Amino acid sequence: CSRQHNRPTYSQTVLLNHMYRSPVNLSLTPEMQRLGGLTEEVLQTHFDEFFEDIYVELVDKYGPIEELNICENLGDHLVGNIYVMFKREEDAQKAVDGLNNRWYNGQPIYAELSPVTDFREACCR
Amino acid sequence: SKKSRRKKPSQFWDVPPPGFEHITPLQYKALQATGQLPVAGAALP
Repeated sequence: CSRQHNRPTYSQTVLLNHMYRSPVNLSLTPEMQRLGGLTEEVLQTHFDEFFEDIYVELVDKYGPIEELNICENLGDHLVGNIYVMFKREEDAQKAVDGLNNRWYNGQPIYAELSPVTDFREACCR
Repeated sequence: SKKSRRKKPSQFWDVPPPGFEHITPLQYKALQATGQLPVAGAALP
């Protein structure tokens, strides 16, 4: 992959770069240690809560969502990427403009439009 | 007004990094772009 990805002018899909920080890549919080470390259950709960937190906020603030994908892929350029396909292109643009000036969990959000519309076919070549 | 689907307030949305409450995320990213602040986590494009 050349990493020279096409950045479209219009799209229903928004890419949020490296926004999901899996506990696999972080040191354990005291809460996780108390729960017995990184069990499958702890990881799933962490993921589910993150997914809901993102989904609810995006639908509330920017508009209805067709599909929301969070990458657990550990490749450098994919790790923690979130792909949000809105029902309407104008909502996707509104989300990019709004999210680029918001924080999430002590980090700025890096949002851009993405050309991906069919996630089963999406493949970085 | 529009009804929120949120059951409880988020602990994470709109939480700035400690010590950077006075600047906007756009200003923070501009500082990262000029190398004045490190980029956390994986290398960004």
